[in-house]
This record gives sequence, structure tokens and C-alpha cells, in this order.
Amino acid sequence: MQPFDQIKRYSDTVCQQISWKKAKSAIATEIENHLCDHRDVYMADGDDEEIATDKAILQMGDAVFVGQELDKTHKPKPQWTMLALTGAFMLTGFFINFYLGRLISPLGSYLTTYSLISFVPAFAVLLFCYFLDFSVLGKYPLQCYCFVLIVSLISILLGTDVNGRLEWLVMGGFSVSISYLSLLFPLASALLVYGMRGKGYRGIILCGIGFLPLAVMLLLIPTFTGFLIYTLSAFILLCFAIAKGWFSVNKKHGLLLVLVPTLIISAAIFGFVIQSPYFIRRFSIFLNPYEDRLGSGYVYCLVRDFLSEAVFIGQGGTPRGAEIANVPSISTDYPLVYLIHQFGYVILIGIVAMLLLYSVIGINKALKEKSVLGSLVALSIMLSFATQSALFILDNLGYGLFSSLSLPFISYGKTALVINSALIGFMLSVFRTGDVYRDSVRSQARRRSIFSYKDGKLIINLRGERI
Amino acid sequence: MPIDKGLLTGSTTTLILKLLEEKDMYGYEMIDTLMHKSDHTFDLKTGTLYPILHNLEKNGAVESYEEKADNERVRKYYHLTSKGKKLLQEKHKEWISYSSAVNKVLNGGLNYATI
Repeated sequence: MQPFDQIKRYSDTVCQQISWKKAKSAIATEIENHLCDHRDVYMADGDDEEIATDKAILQMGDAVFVGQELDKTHKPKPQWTMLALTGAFMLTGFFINFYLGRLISPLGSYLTTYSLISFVPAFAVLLFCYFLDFSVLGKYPLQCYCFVLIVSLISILLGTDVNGRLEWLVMGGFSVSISYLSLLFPLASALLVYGMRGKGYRGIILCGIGFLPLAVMLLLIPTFTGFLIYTLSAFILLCFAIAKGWFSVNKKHGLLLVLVPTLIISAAIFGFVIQSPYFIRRFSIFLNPYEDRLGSGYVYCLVRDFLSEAVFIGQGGTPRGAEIANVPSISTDYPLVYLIHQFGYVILIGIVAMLLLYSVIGINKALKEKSVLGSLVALSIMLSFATQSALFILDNLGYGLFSSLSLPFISYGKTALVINSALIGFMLSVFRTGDVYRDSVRSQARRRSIFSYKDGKLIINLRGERI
Repeated sequence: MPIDKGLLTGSTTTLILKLLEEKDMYGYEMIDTLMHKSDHTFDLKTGTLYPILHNLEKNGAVESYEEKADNERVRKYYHLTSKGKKLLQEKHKEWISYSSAVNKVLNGGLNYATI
């Protein structure tokens, strides 16, 4: 038997004792590299390769015992708490939609039934993504980013326009709400950051450039809430990656490279907004909706009036001449208004407490992830979850500057339900198996650029060989 | 003088943590350093090292990262975390207390410091 075959056989025997398949590859590599290091030392002392290999293996000890000991440590971490909380969100969403569906049509409309049934495939999607191998994202981060970009572009080109806004993409018998695609953008942004890590200041600048196409798409739809969720997430992810040292640059300089352009662009946007009559009107209505009570401020006034009549526990009073069921889109966009009014603020406190608990656990776990990929993917999903929840709640309290997207798993909307289920399933997959994922190692050797000049010769290196 | 492996087993974790307190190391480097520092007294079976290291990593006492060596071989380096530093302090105190008690018994009730 060839000496390296002996090493391979030893590591195979170790790995046979380990029940978790995903853990085997990293362990095998570590054991094999150790044996090779040790063999090289014996060879440097004068042994031939075969004897050196035998000595190294003997020194390692019994392969079965080593494997059994490692098996005790390497187990996937089932995410029972997070799964139970997600299930609790889904059940809450199911009952709220069932209850509110009866409000629209006491006999239960086709739409309500269809919406309730969608919880079943959503749960299946959650479980499917929970068992998926998230490491595939690490192999093709930039390709995944481009895929999201292309899908979004196609959606925008083929989307159906409703009152100057791209609402739906109709595919076969299904129609997908385009605004909800923005929930995927923070993940795309995380993959872009992952793909650019270790590339220094150039990588940070490329992340900034890569942010733009998706941002422009959100403004074309337009979904300002989606834009806000994406921008906030991308900004936090990039700063987080720089602060962690993943770009291999001076952290202070790297952060300044992000903060200064962000401040300049934000100031420019603010300058544009305060001169735009549309935004001035919108902001003015937001601050004082009662100045146009029967016009643009109608929904704001109704929401604020009903909430001002709500009590801590129990049914609130009814403002004169108003009917809760007549609040526009009460069952789809303002479910919390209805629930608070009917049952009291205790419902809001309960839902906010659940969301906070989920966000704190999720973000804490994301920050503790050992791999760069796991950390970025999980954090991007939690940021998307937390910001869409916060904006939805603000909107339902009558203080939403722009229409909200969704309250994950709870508010009406099949596209949002399925996308959020997939994202959360994926995040839980990171928490379950992230311990054994290793970020790809970049070689110390630098790639030679395509054109270089040496000893009076111009070298054209089309193969990208290393120096 | 060869020593009983049982004596070594109980203190391996402390020794590994101590090595990593000085600098980040990969598996073989730890075995080699330990062997040289102890004049071959601590000639560990390498197989016992990895389960301990992986367990320490699982508990957050050490963290690992990979780097390519000059020979293009990927090496997994281990780094002591702040949690690991605290664990080392506890293990160190535990060892002092334990060894002092053993010495006391072996010396007929006298503390080592007093003889």
C-alpha cells in the first residue's frame, strides 16, 4: 500500500465512527494534514516515506477510538426553540388570518381559504430549507447575487403595472407580489460582501457599487419600505464585515470609506426630498393627517382614532361615525389595528414580545456563528425579519411614512409568507450545521495580473497563474 | 522517567490552553511544542488531542481558522478566546489546589513549601 493510501485509510476509519456526514470532510482534512506534517518531520530526520508514515500513524493512536471521541463532539444542533417560535408565529398568523377572513366574508371567501391553505406549503418550505446545505452559497456567492439581480430584472420587465406601481408577476396560475422580492436583497447583499471579503479597499468599493443595481430596482418598482430594509441591511452588513476585519484593511479607514459616501448620498437624497412637492405633502400628512382628514390623511386618522379609543384589555370604544371593519385593507394591511381595538393593547404587547425575543435570539446566534458565511447569511435574514416587523408595527400604529411590506408569518400575503419561511428555514440551517462549515481559504500567493512587465518583456497572462 | 498516562489525561486540557495562551497553533505544532517543553515527558498520543481541541472549540474556549502554509497544505490554527483564558485561570487554580493537596499527603501532612 502507498504511504498516502495508509494515511487516507486511517482518516477514513476515523470518519467511519462519526455519524454526522457534514462533519467528516473537515475532520479528515485536519487528520490527514497532521499525519503528513508528522511524516515530513520523520522524513527530515532520515526515515524513508513508508517508515515515516507508519511512525506518524502509530503516534496518532487507535483510529476507532479517535473517531468515537470525535463523534461525541460533532452533532448537528437541532434548533428546537427557534423552530417552536417560528411554528408559534405561523399558528398565530393562521388564526389571525382565519379570524380576519371571517370579518370580510363570514362564510369564508375563496381568497381567505386560499390564504390559509398557503400556510401548509410555507411550513414545508421552512422545513425543506432547514435541511438544506447552506454551504452552496459560499461556493457561488457572486453567482447567487447575480441570480437575484437577473430574477429581479425579469420581474420588473414582465411585471404588471397597477396605478403606476409594479405589483404582480404572473407565472402560470400564480401571481407573485414584486415588492416582496426586496426581502431577498439583504441576503444577496450578504453574499456580495462574502464574495468581496479579503479584497481590501477595492472589495469595499465594489460592495458599494454592487449595492446600487438592486437599490435602483426597488426605486423602479417602487417600494420605499423595501428600499429602506435593503439599504439598512446592506449598510449594517458591510460595516459589520469591516469591523470584524474580514476585508483585511484598517478598520477605521474602511468604516470611513463606507460612512462618508453614505452621509454624502443621504444628504443629497434629503436635499432632493425636501424640494419634492410629493414628499413634502406626504411628510406633512404624516405629521398632521387631520389637515386632510378626508383625503390623503384618511387612513392615518382612522387608525389613530381607533387606537386612541383602545384599552389595555378588552374591546375599545368606537370613534363617532366610524366603523372598524370599514378601515381600508383592515384584514390585510392593518390587522394589528383591528386586534388592538377588539382585544386591547395586550395583543400588541404579546406580538412585540415574541418578535423581540425571536430577533434577540436570532441576532445573538448570528453574531456567534463561527464562519464568515454563516454569520453574514444569518445576520442578513435577521435584519430583514426585524426591520420589516418594526416598519409594519409602526405603520399599524399610524406612524408609517410609507406602506409596509409584511409582518413575518402573521400578516396576510402568500408571497411574503413563502419567502420569509424560506429565509428563516435557511437561517436555521445555518444555526444547525454552521459549526462545521469552513470559509474557503485564500492562498497566500497572489494571482498575477493579466498584463505585467518584467526584464524588458511584456507578459500577457491569460490563465491567471499565480506568482 | 515514563509517567502514568492517567496523570497526563487529567491535565491535557490545561496544557493545551496554556500553549494557546502564548500563540495560535495548529495540531502538530502543539504536540511538538509540548513534547519539547516537557523534555519528552508529555509525549501525547496525537489522537487524544483533537477530541479535546474540538470540544474546547464547541464550548467557545478556542476558535479556529484555516491558513495555507508554504507547501499549500491547509492548516487549522486554534486561537484562545477570552472564555478560554478564564477557563485556563480556573484550571490553573484547580491544579495548584490539587497538586498542593497531593504533595501534602505524600509528604506526611507537610506542605511542599515548608520542607
